[in-house]
Amino acid sequence: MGDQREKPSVYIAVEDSYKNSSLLDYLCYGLEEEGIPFKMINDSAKNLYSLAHQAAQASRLDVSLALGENNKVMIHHKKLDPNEPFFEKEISKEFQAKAIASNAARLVKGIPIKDIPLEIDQKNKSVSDILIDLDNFKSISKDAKNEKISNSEKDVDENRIKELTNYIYQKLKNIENK
Amino acid sequence: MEYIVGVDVGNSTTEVAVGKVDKKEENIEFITDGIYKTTGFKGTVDNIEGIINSLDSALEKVDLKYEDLDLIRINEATPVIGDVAMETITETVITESTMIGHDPWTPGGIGLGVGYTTRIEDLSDCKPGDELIIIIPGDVDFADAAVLINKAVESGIKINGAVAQKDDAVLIVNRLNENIPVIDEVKYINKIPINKKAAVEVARPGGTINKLSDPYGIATIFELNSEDTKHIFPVARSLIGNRSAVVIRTPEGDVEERKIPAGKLVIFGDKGKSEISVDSGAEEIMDSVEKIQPVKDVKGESGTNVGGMLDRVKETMSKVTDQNLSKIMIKDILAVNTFVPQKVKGGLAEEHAMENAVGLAAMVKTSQLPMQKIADKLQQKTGVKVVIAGVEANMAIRGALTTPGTDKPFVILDMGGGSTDAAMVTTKDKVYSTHLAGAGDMVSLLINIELGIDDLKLAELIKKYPLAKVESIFHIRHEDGSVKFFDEPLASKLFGRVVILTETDMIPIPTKHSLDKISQVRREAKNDVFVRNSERALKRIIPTGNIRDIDFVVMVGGSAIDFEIPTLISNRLSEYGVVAGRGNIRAIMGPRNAVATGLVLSYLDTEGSVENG
Repeated sequence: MGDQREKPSVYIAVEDSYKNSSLLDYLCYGLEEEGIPFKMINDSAKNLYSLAHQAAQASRLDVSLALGENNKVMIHHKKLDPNEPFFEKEISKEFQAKAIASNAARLVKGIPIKDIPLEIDQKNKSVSDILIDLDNFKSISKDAKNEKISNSEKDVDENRIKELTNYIYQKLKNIENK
Repeated sequence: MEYIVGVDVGNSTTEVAVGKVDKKEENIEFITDGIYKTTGFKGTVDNIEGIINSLDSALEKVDLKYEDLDLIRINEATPVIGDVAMETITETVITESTMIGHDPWTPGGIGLGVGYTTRIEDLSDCKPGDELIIIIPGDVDFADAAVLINKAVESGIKINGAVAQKDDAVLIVNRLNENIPVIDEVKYINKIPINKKAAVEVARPGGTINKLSDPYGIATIFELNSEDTKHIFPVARSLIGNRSAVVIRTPEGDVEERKIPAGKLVIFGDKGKSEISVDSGAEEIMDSVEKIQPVKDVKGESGTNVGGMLDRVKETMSKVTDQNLSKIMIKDILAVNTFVPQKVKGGLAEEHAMENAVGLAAMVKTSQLPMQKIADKLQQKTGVKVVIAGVEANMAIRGALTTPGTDKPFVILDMGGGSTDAAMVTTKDKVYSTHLAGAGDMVSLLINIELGIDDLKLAELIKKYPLAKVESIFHIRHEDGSVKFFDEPLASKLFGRVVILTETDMIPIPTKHSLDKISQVRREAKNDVFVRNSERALKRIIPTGNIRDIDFVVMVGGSAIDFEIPTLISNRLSEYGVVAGRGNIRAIMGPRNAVATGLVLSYLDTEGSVENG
């Protein structure tokens, strides 16, 4: 039973070696995008299944995410058998972690889960997409002519872009230090 | 003692009844029955396989062989087949990309923002005071995007909204210093025209947008005159009900709803002919059909969908019956208004607009089907004497009268897959019959197109079975609100989905439609086809033309088994004081086996005996 004093949230349990991984960050982003609160818990268990299951027991939303060996991500639910999680998959990409986390959020919300893509959609265009692109080529190129900004003008601003990049770099470091 | 078999070859099923007849006692005892899918088109030699299978399954139950049988009576099948088609009569075309009307699950921020579209990489070119809508492609990280936007706002640039390619809207908004509306999951982000005036609107959770879904709201934002407002109306209409939307105005931007020339129907009758264009809608078409009754033939304009469909039905019939194409006539059509979700041409996020369409069912009748060929072949295969006996309508009445609680004068409604047939018998045993276009297949078609599922098999399952919503991994909620719990967890692919509950399975429906929407579409399709057809049929066959003049209507055929069609019809007919219900042939068979039963029962008549009843 989840502790009634705790805020209802999806609990995330992670094996030690993944505590600072970017996959973990993206699990959090996935939950944040769906607007579901989450909390990291420190727990130890002999394997990922029981780790995930324990986290689900503790969560007042009855749902947990776990990340561990071989980049395996798991969605677990309080009422499920420890060895039969709601979802489990070994992943290789960060965006997949985000998609799985958003599915955990969907489990809480009660809306259908999404398929986990192997590649990011927009980089994986189908033939029909390309045909549509060709269809629209005319209108886009027309727009391009209407634009008054020419390429040479953009080159002048290269210094400013560098300036901005530096600024972003600094800002990101600040966020990390926090 | 004789064993007599009745065989009824229907459009979709072949049914068999076997009776033990005692001539002296004038007693008939039904001992077994069988059912099998009709093989090939009804009335062709291909039917033999289905007949044999059906007969075998019946004989197997009581351990009889072909040698034990004395006579097979096969019905003089009504030479009727039906077909269905759909014709879209409106189309929304966006000639310049001007809107994003999709509904991502999680847009960010709340409110309405107006500005000029600018790619996030080009922020450095902007001056303080510029009013912008920022375009964020998928390769820009949400944290970077947020930092850039915050920085730009600090420097005095007004950023009023954003459009992102990835599912990042909430993440971006959470990292901004000021709340702006952000729409995400826009697939074709590169097609958004740059440096054009645009408006982004996101409603609060649970709400719907109200500025961009209103033509005058859009007119206010983009300062449109009355002419332009007319053009923008289809955009506003297709955004109704969304939680978020973007409208981008390009100077050449031109959105139009235009009517596709959908072709004409020419209806020929005894009194003359009537020409009507399909895009005038279902009511007008049906009015013309009723006015011109009885219909002799219907022709469609060649080169259009309607023309093609009507030609196809005629061709099939001509092949089946080996008759000249010019002799095949379309005797009835049923038109139903419907909506089709169609991809908006030029949309940026695969948005769909609901277009008007007309669904059409057609019914062809010829003079006769080559039943004798089937009878000969069957006799050769089984070694049992086969005779063609009786008109289908009379046999169906004979069988349907075995339903407890019925009496003459009464009407049977035979609701199958391709056509709705009706027959009436008066107290003086006079029989009137009629055949109407539109039945089960039409319902499947309407469900298929209106839900946009593009899968006729699935549509058929939606028609046949009730729905439920999988609410948690352990329970589902039925259409009536009751809940069922399971011991084992349900598959994760079912979670949160609307499912079809068959006897053994749960089949998820892969759409965003709610359970209520799907069941409403299903019920309306059944209403539009069966309830309308039952009224049409009754008005035609009752000699006085007044539905109140009959007392009993018995529904038989495959579609009478349906879990809600009989109740829908029963409800409507009760308004006329008619007792209408599902047939229960021989008090045990339900609405099936009426014709086969009638064929066995009528055996004694032909032998000169009188049957009690």
